[in-house]
Amino acid sequence: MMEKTPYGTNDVITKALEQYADMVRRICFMYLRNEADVQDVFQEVFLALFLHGPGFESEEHQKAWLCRVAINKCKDVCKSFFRRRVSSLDEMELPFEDPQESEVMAAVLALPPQYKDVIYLFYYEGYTVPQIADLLHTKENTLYSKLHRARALLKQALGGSYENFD
Amino acid sequence: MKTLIKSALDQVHAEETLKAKTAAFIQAQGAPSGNTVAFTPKKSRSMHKKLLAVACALLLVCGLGAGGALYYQHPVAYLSLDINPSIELGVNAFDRVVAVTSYNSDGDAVLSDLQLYRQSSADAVATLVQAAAQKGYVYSDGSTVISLTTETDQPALADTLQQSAAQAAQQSLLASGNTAVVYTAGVGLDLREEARTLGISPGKLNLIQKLQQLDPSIATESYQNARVTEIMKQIITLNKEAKTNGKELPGLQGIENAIAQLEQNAEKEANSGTTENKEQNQQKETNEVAGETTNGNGAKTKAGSNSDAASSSSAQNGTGNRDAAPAEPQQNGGKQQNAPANSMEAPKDAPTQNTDDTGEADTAEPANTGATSSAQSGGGQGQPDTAGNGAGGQNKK
Repeated sequence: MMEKTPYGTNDVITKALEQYADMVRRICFMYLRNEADVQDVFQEVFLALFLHGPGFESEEHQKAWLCRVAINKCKDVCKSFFRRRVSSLDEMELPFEDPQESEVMAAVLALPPQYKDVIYLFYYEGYTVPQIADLLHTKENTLYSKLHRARALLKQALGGSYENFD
Repeated sequence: MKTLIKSALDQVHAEETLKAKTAAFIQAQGAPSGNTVAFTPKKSRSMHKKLLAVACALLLVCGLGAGGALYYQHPVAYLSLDINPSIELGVNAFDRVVAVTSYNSDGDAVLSDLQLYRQSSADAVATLVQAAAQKGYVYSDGSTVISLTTETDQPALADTLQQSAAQAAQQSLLASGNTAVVYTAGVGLDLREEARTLGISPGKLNLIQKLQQLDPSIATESYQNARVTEIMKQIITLNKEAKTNGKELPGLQGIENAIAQLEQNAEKEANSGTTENKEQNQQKETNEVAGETTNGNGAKTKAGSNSDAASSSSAQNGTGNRDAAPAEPQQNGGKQQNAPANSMEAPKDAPTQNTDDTGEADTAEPANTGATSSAQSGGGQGQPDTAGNGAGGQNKK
């Protein structure tokens, strides 16, 4: 039975919300520039988790699963018909105080969607390439090239001011 | 770089409201049984499929709409109204007027400020008759023939159209206090084509062709602008002549009846005082006329009111009908029989209506009987020509 919690849903969701809300929100942030889209994807991700139910092998598994679902849903939104043709009215402003951070993030967010997942998982979540390959069901070599190209694009965008890309 | 990205993204947090909304959303979606829910996630179909579906639906709707509109706009029958104004109405399968054509300048004048589109055929005929009367094309002395000719290759449709149109015309005449003879006939669509190429209304061409059958030297053009009444009178005159040679044209009962009716009207007009109420006059006159046995026009019966038009139109080809008789007073030995019948009926009847009694009385006439019956059976060249309750129609069926 559903156990009442502060959020009124069962504990799996509550716990996941506590634990992974920020992560999902960050992934949304990487891809989406529109508050309504963010909310949609956010809800859909946790709804997916709710429907999936328990049955994850481990916390890590659940986290990886959520990552993947979130990234896929974000990509779905990105490639959807209307989004590609209709420009959103309320573009979110970058919330960063530090000008360097803002510059880098602007460059990252400007990357084509297919590079964002690698960048996020590699730089932020600290996954290794084999882990990412497992998570995204992609070949490692594909990821290496993606990573390489993404870095090149960033370098180009940032004018070579950030040499340390590791 | 890595640290910058990390520190920057670290600042991104899920808002509490977002979490709360999500929790509420999931709770709303989920069944109370927790994780084993009977919730089916909406399947997101690809945009292409959706577009395709929408396009198909649109196409279907457009197709149906266009088909329906075309069907609605398509006339299945035409109704040619001729007085002198010649007007043709295209009537669709729903008995609505979808096309209006004027064949002469008088027709233009009548149509000038009329909106007939989408009216029922009967309403349109009534409106037209009224307008024609207002514009002086229906003479007040009752010496006008209104010819209603259906043009279709479907006999049943022609029948119903003729009946409803004749009825509407009668009622319109009654309502406006005018007198006229309504004559109905039916022709095929081939005649319509011919008429269109000549620029004459099919109804009139039908009459002119009869005229030409009687006198091949007559040019179509010479009667193009003549009133229907004139043409009919001419037909009867020629037919009488032809009859003396034994060559009279078959299938003219309708016209004969109409002309007889005209004569009757003229008589009434002559007899009636000018100031009296028209209808009263007419009724009186009807009586008087009926009473005059010498006149005993079987065809006192107005042409238009024929419920028989239909049936007689199927008999239309009848060669028979040598009987100009009903129209011709002299012949009536037996017509006296008519008179009483008429005089009894007439007062009840509206001036423009007729009783079948007269017709039957006619058929009782030995001279006529043979003729009329042959009208039904004979296959003649004549156009479907059904006069009001023309003698042909009244033949006992």
